[in-house]
Amino acid sequence: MASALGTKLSLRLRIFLFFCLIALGGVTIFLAAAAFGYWRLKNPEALGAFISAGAIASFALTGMVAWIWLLFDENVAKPLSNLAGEIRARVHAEVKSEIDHEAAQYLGDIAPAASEIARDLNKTKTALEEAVKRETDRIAREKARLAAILRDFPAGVLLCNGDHKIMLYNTKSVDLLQQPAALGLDRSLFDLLQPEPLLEAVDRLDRAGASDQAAQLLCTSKRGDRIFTGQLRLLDSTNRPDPKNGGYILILHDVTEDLKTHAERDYLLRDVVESIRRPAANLQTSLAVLQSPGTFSASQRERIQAALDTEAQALVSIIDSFTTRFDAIESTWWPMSDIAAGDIVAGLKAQLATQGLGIRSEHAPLILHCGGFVLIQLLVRLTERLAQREACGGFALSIQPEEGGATLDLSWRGEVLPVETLEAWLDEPLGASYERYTLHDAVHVHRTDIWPERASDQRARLRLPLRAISQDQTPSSLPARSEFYDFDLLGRSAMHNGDDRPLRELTYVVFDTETTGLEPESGDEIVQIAGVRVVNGRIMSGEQYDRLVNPERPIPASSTRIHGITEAMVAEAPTMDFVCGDFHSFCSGAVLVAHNTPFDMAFLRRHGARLEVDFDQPLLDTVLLSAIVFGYDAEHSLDAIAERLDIEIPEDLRHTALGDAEATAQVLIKLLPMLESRGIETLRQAVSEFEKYRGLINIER
Amino acid sequence: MPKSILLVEDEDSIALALEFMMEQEGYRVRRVASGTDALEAVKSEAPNLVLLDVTLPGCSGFEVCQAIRLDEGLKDVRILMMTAKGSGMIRRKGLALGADDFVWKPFVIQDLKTKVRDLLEEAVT
Repeated sequence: MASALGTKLSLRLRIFLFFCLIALGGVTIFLAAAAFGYWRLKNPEALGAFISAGAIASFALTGMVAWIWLLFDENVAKPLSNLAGEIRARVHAEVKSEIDHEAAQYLGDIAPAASEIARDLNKTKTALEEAVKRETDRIAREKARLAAILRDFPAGVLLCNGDHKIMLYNTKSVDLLQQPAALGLDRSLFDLLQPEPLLEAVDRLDRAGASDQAAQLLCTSKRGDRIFTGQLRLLDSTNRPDPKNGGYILILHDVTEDLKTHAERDYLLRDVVESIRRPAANLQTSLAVLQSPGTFSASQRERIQAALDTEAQALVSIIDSFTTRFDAIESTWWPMSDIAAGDIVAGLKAQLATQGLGIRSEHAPLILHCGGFVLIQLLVRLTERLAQREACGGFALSIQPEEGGATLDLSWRGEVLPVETLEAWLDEPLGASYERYTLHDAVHVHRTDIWPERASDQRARLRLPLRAISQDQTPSSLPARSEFYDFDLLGRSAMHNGDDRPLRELTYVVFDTETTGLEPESGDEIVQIAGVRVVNGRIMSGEQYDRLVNPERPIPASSTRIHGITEAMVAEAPTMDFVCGDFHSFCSGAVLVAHNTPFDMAFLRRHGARLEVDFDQPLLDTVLLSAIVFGYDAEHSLDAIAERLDIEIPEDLRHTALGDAEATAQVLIKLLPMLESRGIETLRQAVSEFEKYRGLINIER
Repeated sequence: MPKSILLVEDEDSIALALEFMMEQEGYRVRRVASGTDALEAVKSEAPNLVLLDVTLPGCSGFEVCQAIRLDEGLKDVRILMMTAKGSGMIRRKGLALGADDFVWKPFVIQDLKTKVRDLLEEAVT
């Protein structure tokens, strides 16, 4: 019992108790000796002198013991405690800097010896790391090749574990699902897609024992605004008693536009039939009346002619309206791909160069919706033909935006090309291997036309309008080295529940806020909020949340001096009415972590209560985690912890929400193994340990 | 002196109606049924306006339109193109090649009359 109590108490507390024991023992001995002397003297008059001597001696002894304890605590116990923290940081958090000898100067050779151990440990670790690195590099290269293929696979690919948590997603899936705040590793697929068709498909495959077959399915986004066809295949089903727990791979294609277009075509066709029937019937009737034998009065003839005129006009207006609708449908659906204008130019130049032809170019940063190869071949053939004409040179290609698309101009110095010549060229095959496919086909497949015109006094051009979809940036993309897969998530399902899951297996959202001031209860507001997700001990660089927030109140200059955010910067930003729910969605399924949580959570909970968004996720606080690892008395500001753990916060990122959130995430990642070394391995244990240090938070910022 | 219109239309039924209607409006109308004939007629007669169908046997309405516009001596001739097929891109091509206006078939007769009148008035001013 005493031994158990001993290990639970901190070293400094134990030493304090030890000195208390010495003082108590000393005082007891003094008092016993005085009592014994008085008893031997047998002189009642000496009692007062004995009591005074005993009291003075006891106070003096207690004072001396307290003084020695203070010196011992300052020069031995505290340095020992710090030294233990520093050794732990080097063993578990991969801190490589030298141990600070200065603070432990009275510990004799212990600090230098600890330094030597740390150096030796570093050396051994480095050698081991290098050996492991060589092998893992090889595996990583192979993995990276496969990942690169998967990442840019032109369909949405998602791998999920048995709990429907995402283990992998690729760029296309980010585009398709259009909910970047909710898409990420270890998040539920059901936050993005309606679960029923997926569950039914998994169940269907499972019942059929069809480990080698894929199920086709039609599913919709959670919001119901996108429709996908999908192919689902179970993973790892062969050696598992419950194949459903092995997870699955899901490949998605967005068919919303296709279905919409087909539906619109159906509606159009039905409308054509129904709308034309009435005026056609009326025309036929009126004509039949006019052709019938017999004479009409002037007013009768006039009325029949008026009826004919009305119905003919109705027909014309119906056909006009359908032509417009058909054009709109036709231009929204054609089997093309998105290609940068720069790639078209580069392709054309490369092909012309092989024939000794040069071309100048000028293009806006556009993504064209076109058939890249066909378009380049068309331009090559036309340029070749133009080059064969007399007095035709100085070729240039320009691709510029216009309303609803782009204009592609192939110009030259010389005369305007006759339409019949152009038409004759367009009837030629696109290439030797494309005898049946003419340049005309290449133009028509783009639902456009091409014509010659004068460009300036000296120059003429061929103009080809095209449909461009956006400026030259892909709708969404994963950063080059972002973590978009983690197969360790596969075995995680259903092993642990809630608070008993190991800390290192939890998914965290580490966040920070910048505010108008330090008093959330007195009307201060958030002006910036950022969070990063940490999955399996890695920061997910592709899954960041970073938003300016309009606080709907002035930002004091004193606050702007700290975080640099001005009222002008947030004027167009969303308010907490939007950000609160959006950030909550980003935090789904994760433990929330911040440095001094009560401060940040006060803002979120205030708005959450108002907007009925419940921030009830488990919370961890890096101030308290640091106190557990480095002791109550150590400094627990973010800067101090970061320095202790060898984490550099770039000066320009400090006091930005994202910079501080990332630094806090790095602190968390380094603290987790140190906590484990102290026997704190689960969320439940960490939260229970927090109670000892509760007084620390809200003072460290 | 009545204004002259060259009607270039290969379909007899619509050509008959248009010819009749334009004459009713007081214009002098001559009709040809192919692009090649149209080019000859324009050069020999230099009409005030050419009512030009896009789809023609021989050479297309676009070729006729471009040929007229490239001939300095015919710069006062107005061109009104007509077509029964295609989309907005056809109109754009026609205007780029030098047509002054464009109508789709079927059209409301009154609209066509207005366009012809406007173009001929423009030509005078």
